[in-house]
Amino acid sequence: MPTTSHPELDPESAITFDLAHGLLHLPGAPERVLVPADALVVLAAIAGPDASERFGRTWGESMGRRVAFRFSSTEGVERTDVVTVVEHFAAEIALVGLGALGLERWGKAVVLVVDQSPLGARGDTLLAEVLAGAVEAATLRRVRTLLLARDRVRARFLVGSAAAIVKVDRWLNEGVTWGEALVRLHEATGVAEGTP
Amino acid sequence: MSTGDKSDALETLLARIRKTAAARAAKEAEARAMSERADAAPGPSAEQPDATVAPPNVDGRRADEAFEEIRLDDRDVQFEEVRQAFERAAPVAATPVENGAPAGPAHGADEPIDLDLPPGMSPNVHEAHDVASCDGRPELPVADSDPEQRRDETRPVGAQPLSDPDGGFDQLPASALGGAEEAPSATDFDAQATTDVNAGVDDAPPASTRQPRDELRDRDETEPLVDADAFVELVVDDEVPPASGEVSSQRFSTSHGSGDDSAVGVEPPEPLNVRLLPDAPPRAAERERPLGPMPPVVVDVSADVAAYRPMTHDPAIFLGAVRKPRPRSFGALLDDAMTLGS
Repeated sequence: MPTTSHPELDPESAITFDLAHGLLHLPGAPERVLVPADALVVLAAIAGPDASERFGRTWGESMGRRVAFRFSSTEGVERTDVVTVVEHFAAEIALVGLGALGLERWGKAVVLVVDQSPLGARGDTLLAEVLAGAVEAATLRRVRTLLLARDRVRARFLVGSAAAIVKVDRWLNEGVTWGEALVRLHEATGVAEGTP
Repeated sequence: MSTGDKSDALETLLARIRKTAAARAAKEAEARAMSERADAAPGPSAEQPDATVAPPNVDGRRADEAFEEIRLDDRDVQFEEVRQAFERAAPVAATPVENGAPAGPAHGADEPIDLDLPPGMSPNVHEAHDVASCDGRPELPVADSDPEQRRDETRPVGAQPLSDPDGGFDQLPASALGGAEEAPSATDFDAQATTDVNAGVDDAPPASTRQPRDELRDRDETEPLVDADAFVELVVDDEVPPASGEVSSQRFSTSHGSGDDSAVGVEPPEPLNVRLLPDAPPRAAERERPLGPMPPVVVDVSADVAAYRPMTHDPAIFLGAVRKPRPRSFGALLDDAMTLGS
């Protein structure tokens, strides 16, 4: 049975600026550093895809652990309703200054939407690894993310298995729209028609 | 009046006529001599054809003018004397016969009086009287019975012959013959020309008003500027040189339509015969053709229809408007998402 009681998200005192010691504290998380977004993008670009992926996953796993901490465990996140979990994930993304997080369901596909990301289009790859690390750390599931499309300030990331991400990435590279890619993904799975 | 009185009157008349004729002959000779001297004087140069040279003066007047006055005065005197003599002689003709001798003059009233007149004078006094009594105008003394000679001698010395030999003296207006009360007709060219000739150079403009033409100038600066065509016409008209060397000879009368045309022999225009003809009636409209058997009209009963071909492809992609119940937990959502692509 899904639990009906879930931790409330208290944005007050979510971050503490220790000016006497020159530290920035988040509850349940190691020390934080305020870094310019442009410098972070430049660093990710210079480091390469592998380094950026590892950097992003590490950054996201910290977020997921804090969400799981608030839900007491990873099972607590699994049992919690979608809206509450999304609110906690969105709060973590907003505290680090990476934008506003949302979730879309296209059939069985789960699409995370990030608006107003300061990293821009050049930081979408890094942002995708941050989201994947957060979901993995919160649920203890091996998930991957893929940038479906970017509409000005809105970026859509598909959350799925490694096999699904590979297929959709191939279709997108072939010129298929992200909507058609999702349809194909459902058709390939055999759940597009008649499957509730 | 007795016969002696009439004879005395005739003698007196003849004496005065002879005296007057002698005086006139002397004046004519003097005037002719002056005219010949004027002609002998150097005339206008060939380079100045328009220049008018005034004739030599006689007692402060020109020779032609002096001669004209002499001739007119002489004519008036003669006419008056003849008229008075005739009036005196006329009652004699009506006087009854006295002492078996016929009354009246010795030669009779209708007989021409044999007068010892100088050559060129007409002895037919009765004829002059008749002419004068007919039209009420004084009659010039006639030279003799030759009409051509009469015409030539009635002209002043130096005058040119009339252009119309048939007209001439008989068609001269009264003003040219001494009657000042009648104006000359403006439409009669010959009459006006004759008047100008008889008038001599009285009407000639003063020399100061007609300066010699300067050939170096292309136009007359006193003329107002007009358009080019009109100016050319003026120049062309002005280029015509006078035929006789005198400007007055080039003057022609201008008809204003108000003169008496009958007096100068010009027939009045005949009245116009105007006839009003109505326009031809318009053509009648063509009648409509009667209705008859109409030819069969060929109608294509099969319409040309452009049909659309049936669509075989989906115009759009629909993901399906199915609303499924939200997953109960975030774990269930991830379970469904992880099944895709497997």
